[in-house]
Amino acid sequence: MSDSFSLPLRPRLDRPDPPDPLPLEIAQINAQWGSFRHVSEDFLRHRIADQSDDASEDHDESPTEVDTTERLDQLYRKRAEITQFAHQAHMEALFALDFVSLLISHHAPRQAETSMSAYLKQVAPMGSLTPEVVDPPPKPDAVRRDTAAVARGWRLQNFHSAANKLLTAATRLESEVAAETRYWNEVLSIQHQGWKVCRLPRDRQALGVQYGFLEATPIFRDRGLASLRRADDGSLLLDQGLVPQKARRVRVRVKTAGRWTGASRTPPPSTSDPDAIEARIRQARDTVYEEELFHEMMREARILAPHGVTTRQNLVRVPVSDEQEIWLDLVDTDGEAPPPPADDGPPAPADDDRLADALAHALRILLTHAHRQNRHRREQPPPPLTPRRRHTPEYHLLRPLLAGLQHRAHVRALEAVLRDLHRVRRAAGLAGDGTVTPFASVRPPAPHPGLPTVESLVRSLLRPLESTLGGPLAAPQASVHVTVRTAITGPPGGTVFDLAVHLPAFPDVQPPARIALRSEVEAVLSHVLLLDVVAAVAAAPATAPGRRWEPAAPHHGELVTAGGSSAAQNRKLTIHLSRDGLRVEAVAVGGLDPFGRPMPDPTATPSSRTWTAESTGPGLLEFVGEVSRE
Amino acid sequence: MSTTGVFFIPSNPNASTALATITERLHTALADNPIPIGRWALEHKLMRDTPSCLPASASQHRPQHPRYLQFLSLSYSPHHGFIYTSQPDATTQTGKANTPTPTPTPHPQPTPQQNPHHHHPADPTKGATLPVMTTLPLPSTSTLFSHFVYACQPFWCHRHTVAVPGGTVYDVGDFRVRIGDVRQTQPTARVRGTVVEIEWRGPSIVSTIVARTSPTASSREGNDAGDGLVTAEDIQDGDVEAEYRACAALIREFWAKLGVEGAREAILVPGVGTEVVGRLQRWRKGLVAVSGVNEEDPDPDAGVDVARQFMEIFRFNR
Amino acid sequence: MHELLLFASVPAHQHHELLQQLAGLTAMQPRHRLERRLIFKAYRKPGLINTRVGASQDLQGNEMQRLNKMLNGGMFYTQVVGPLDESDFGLNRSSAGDPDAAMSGTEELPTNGPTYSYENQPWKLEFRDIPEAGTRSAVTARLMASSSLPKGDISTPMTAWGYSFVSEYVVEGDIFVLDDIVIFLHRVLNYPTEPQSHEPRRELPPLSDMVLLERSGSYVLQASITVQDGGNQEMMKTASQHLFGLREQLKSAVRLEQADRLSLDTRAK
Repeated sequence: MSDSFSLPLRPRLDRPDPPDPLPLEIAQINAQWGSFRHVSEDFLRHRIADQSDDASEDHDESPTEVDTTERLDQLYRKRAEITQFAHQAHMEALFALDFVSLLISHHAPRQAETSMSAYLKQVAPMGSLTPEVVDPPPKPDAVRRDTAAVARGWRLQNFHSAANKLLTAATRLESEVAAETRYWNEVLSIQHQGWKVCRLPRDRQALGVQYGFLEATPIFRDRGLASLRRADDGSLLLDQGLVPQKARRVRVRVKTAGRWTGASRTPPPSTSDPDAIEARIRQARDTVYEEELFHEMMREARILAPHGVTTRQNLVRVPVSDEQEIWLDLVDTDGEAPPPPADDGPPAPADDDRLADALAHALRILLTHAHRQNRHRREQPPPPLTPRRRHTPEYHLLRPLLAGLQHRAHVRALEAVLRDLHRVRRAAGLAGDGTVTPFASVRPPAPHPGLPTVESLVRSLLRPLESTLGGPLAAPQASVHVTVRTAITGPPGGTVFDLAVHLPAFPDVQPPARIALRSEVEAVLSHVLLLDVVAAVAAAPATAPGRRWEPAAPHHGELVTAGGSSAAQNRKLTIHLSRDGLRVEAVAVGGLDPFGRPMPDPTATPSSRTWTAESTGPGLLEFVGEVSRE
Repeated sequence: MSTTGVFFIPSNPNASTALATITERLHTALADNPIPIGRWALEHKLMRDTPSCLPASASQHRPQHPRYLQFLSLSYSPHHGFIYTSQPDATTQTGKANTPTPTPTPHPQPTPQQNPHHHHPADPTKGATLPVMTTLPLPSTSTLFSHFVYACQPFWCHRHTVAVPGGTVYDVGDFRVRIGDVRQTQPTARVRGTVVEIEWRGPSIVSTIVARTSPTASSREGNDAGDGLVTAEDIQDGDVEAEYRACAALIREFWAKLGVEGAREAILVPGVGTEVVGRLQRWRKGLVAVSGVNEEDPDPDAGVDVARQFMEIFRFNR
Repeated sequence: MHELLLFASVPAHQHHELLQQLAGLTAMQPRHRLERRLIFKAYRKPGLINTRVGASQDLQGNEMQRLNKMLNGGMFYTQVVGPLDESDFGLNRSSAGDPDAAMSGTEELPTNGPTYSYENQPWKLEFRDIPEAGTRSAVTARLMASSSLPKGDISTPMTAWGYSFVSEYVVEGDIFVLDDIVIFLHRVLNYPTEPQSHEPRRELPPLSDMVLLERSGSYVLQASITVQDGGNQEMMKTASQHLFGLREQLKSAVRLEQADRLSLDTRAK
């Protein structure tokens, strides 16, 4: 309707009534107020006071504090009144019915009988009342005029009120239309932003927006639906029911040696206007996801209790190592203090901050993965119905993290040991190198038909972790490799070390398979490196006087020169290797002990050298060469 | 899968079984000390074709050879149960089952080298083709059994269920011995006797073939392990046959040392080794990698030989 | 195990729309399904039914009666079902007879021909009893058994167990899962030619050559739910209520109803 079409609603007053003539008015005043004689100033004042009293009483009524019992009383009283009125109306209707029945009983007795009350039938015989048309006496003109005027007045009044009602209705409709338009535009914009808008299952009249996760645990899945109510002005209200509307998120903090060393960051809000409906939906979605994440972590943490994971009402504590702990809790986003604005640029995030961030991201990725797993399961043909309820297994959220952290800690510790040993050995001029391939098992997944890349990626993270350390040693063709394996899905604490030692000089030396303790692995590693030093010395080309070293007690780092004409000419070399340094002692052999082993000559002064990681100068082989020439 | 032999010493319902005697002999009669390494259990259900259950006088149509349908589950073959079915008589059969099929696997072609060697006293399947051995995941075998009980009454009739509820496993030198009392649980509970399974665990061609052709092995980082010295061409079908006979002799010798009288023996029962020969043939053709490894059951052939032997033993005359 | 079912007939033109509706209802994409279904019939040797009852008055009387009752017990048809893939079917004749391929010097070997391997075909035994009679609830309820069978040649063990092969067909359709309910929207395809031998086929014709059993191309919507213990009335009731819930939800699209009992009769005469 483009061209506005206005319809006059108020009656047109063509000819305003001539004002009443004065005598009429005087007569009216006389009738209403009595004689002018009585109208005095006092009287009028009294009247005015009376009226204002009435008005103020009306006003007073609403703010008076009525307590509940009174209010109840009032309610009952009013109800009684209503019932009383209803009764009265009922009675009157019955009387009217009886009257009419009696009236027509003369003409249609059968019909009248049905509607007559028993009492009437008893008291009044049928047909005892009959109407008759009488000509009313003609009314005087004045009365007729009066009647016409009153009727006209009534009519006008009614037209007025009808017009008023229509006009207010029109304005109301107009504002309503504007509000509806706004509401629907906003609903549409939400839908265009990709949210799923649907009717509420319970309340078919209302619209809702679905932002939750279909595969979440039922309590959280059902919370993923909020109704889109309309405010009075037509703006959208997100009605989440009884759920508190605070934004919450899982916070990851790292505590090292009793101090907070890192915390995950709160992602900045994605939209500038936090009150926009889209931002609120987004926030509701994030909150429901975070709360589910925390709920599932709690569930999993309870089964991890034997492994030191403890839970409080709103906190999960995961011990990583002796001094490091991860704290996970659910916090209000707005309650969190924003990071202090730094004056000299943002501080570089500490390592532990990054760790906390990474853990926080990993947790969320794993929950999404669990959701995907749920979907796969849901789409499989279900098992037959049994009275037993199926138990939903705990998701793998904390366990992979625990395994990853543990694995990382083991690999780093071993790497440190290996690096220290090699540095000491390099300072002493011995070749050999240790390389580390952390998380060698984590590879970009091969494309798998029927499996989305994301899933195969996460799945590859859930496979047992494997890292390798090691490399060539100083003795020819010697090498040592350590494989560290941590199972993710099994119980935590399942790290196993496999050593592959290749020492051509000592082919019988093989470490036990599958060592479970890191300290043992470290011991084996330094022992193997010691053996390698022994082998390297033994394999060194013979120096000028032609004496070669032969391992006497290699496991104790002992070598002797052989080929001397007598035992006394021989030298004995003892090597000690540790992370701090390499120490060599050379001493002349004084003879053989009862077991035929060379004994140091108590009279000779032993010469010794020590290399630390910082040492420079001649290496071990030069020293050995010097010793053997003596 | 390795070579085994099964012995059964029947006992009277109210007498004690030979279990104590055998256990005692195991400890005294042998050079090696037996090491108990665990428990084992089995359950066996025997069905027989209903017409043959009628007394001979009742029906002139009573078939000459009864047919059997046997279900066996072994605790040490946790992935599957065994179903062993007599083939219908060639005379009453319309010829469907005997149509030669080009598939080598499930259809047990009678291996010509083996048939002459077993002179088993009670071979009810003589004259018919070899029984069909089928392995299925355990839940499926029990479903099938109840299906036959419910829907196949005119031709299958459940005769009895026997079980070894708790046997003991010993390692004795190169042998593994499983012994246990056999109890009948249906139709009435009673003791039937004692069963002894003797497994040769020494080196053998059979275990090599099985190791090289099992799907689990081939999926594991290639076949370049130490036994890569043997190739399929080195082994003839006859070698397998000879090995079965040699192992049978070893097992009989072991049993003789125990000196227990009155035992029934099942070693070279009909069809034993069929799967091994089939695997060898497939291996020779280079078909080691079985396509589509069944995740329910890594190796459907595992344990079929010993299952055949148990089936032979538990086909009590009922 | 028991199975409770409701069926609806879906005309071909409604198929696409219903697929969409079901996908929305179940919040999942349809899982396309192709199945080979072999029908086996229990056989009985002739002449064994008329045994002389009552002739033997000895101790074995009870046993004789039991055996006689068994001999005259019911026998059934049963299905053996194997999942298929579209690539299992033969290629279209048009592409197989491509003149270019013949010209390019390749041997007549159809290297990219049908890859169907009968030896590796997995099978399941799917037994269904005749639906229970006189159940007052408006669902079809029947005893069922489902068990996996060995791969490959299935007629050997089936014959040994007392079944003979009757015929076979193919079912094509889509599966949806709604909680405990499996919804299978499917239709039956027949083979274009009669088999040469009376046993399961070892090769499959091109899928496009398969003939619709129902010429109009209409589908059957089958909603089923399985109950472990059919004797548990509580569970059976829950299951039928789930089905009724689905019937209500789909009311505007299709009419799910009980099937005629005798049309699902699996007894072998």
